[in-house]
Amino acid sequence: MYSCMPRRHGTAGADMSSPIERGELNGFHVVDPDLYDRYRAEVLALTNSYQVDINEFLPNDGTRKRGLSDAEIADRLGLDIRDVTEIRVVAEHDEYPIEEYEASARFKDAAAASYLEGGVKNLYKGDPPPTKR
Amino acid sequence: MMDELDWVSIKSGILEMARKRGAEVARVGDPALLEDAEPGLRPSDLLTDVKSMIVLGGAAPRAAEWQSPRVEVMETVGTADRMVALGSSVARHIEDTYGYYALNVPTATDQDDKAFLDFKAAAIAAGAGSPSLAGPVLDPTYGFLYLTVILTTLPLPVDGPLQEAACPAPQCVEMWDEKGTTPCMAVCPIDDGGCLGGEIQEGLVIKRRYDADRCRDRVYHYWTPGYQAALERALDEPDARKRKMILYGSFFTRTMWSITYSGVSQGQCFECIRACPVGTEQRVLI
Repeated sequence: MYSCMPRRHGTAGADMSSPIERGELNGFHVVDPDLYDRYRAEVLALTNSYQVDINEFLPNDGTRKRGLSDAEIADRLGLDIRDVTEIRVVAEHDEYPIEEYEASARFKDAAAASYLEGGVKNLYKGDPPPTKR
Repeated sequence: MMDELDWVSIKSGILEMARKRGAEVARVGDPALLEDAEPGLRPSDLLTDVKSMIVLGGAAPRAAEWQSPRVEVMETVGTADRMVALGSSVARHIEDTYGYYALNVPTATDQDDKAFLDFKAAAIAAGAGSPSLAGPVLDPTYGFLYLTVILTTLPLPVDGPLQEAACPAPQCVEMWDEKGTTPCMAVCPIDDGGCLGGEIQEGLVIKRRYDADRCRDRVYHYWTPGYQAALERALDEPDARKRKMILYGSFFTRTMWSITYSGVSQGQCFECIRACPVGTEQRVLI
């Protein structure tokens, strides 16, 4: 019935198979901040957050790798899957501070301006567009 | 009775209907090709006994929007809503006409802040595009398109992946040979505050690097991630008057408008695709 859920996806030895426990995944679960700080880097390193060589260009013969699911990360690190989900979701949005958004605005302004100065062709033959600092 | 149905004609009719209603690209893929995705993101997790994936692409920004000198224009035109509506229409048509299950895969996020399905993988499997260094699936003719996926128990003949990838384009290979970069990497270099990195070897992309979190902050600049970042700063601000300046200020206000009219601004950074040569013929107007 819950084919998407692996048999072991909670703490070691736990087995979420009843409808009530499945529903807990959708509930309001807040991860302990200390746990977040302790595992944040490890969890992110196992996800699709910073991708290296896990793209579709690579042959599907074992060379291509994907980020791990929350269940797989929970198994590997011995954590509750709900904590893994919360650590990942918080960390994904916590990777860059609000100042990154100003850098983003500057980048988009500069990129669009560069494109309009010469069109796509300009980027083939000219220098890369400047970014404001 | 079922064996006597002309699946080729049925498929042709469905895809033609989709094209008439706005799809630039309409293809059918084998859902079994996605079975190596992580658990929970497979077609069979969403629809038991799924036999076909119908992948539709369309609703890209208009040529004038790409050419607008105001980058803010592009920040408002990124929406998959038209494709979602089309997908629902196709799914309804299949169920009403043929009596088979058809599910328009939600484009919203699931409970774990992930997609319900890897739309890119579905598009690649169906040949509705090919992977790109920048990230989005690119159709050789139209370039970047918004996607919708309909899973169905209707056993349609599959189209399969494209034989020839759109990326890297010849112009990009040429630029790589001359300058050691490509248009998308030149615009957004991962080693210089951007999101993209990689190399081209014998016409193929290798060693691709992608900073998904930075890209998310740019694509959803004035949407949920930007809202969360600004709200955090507001909550951390001990001075009530300064808090008010944050909450009523232009950045926070703009995120609120984007969130509440969420169908208007789902994609707010297109710079890697603006520079991409694939599909640019569609954008050259008077």
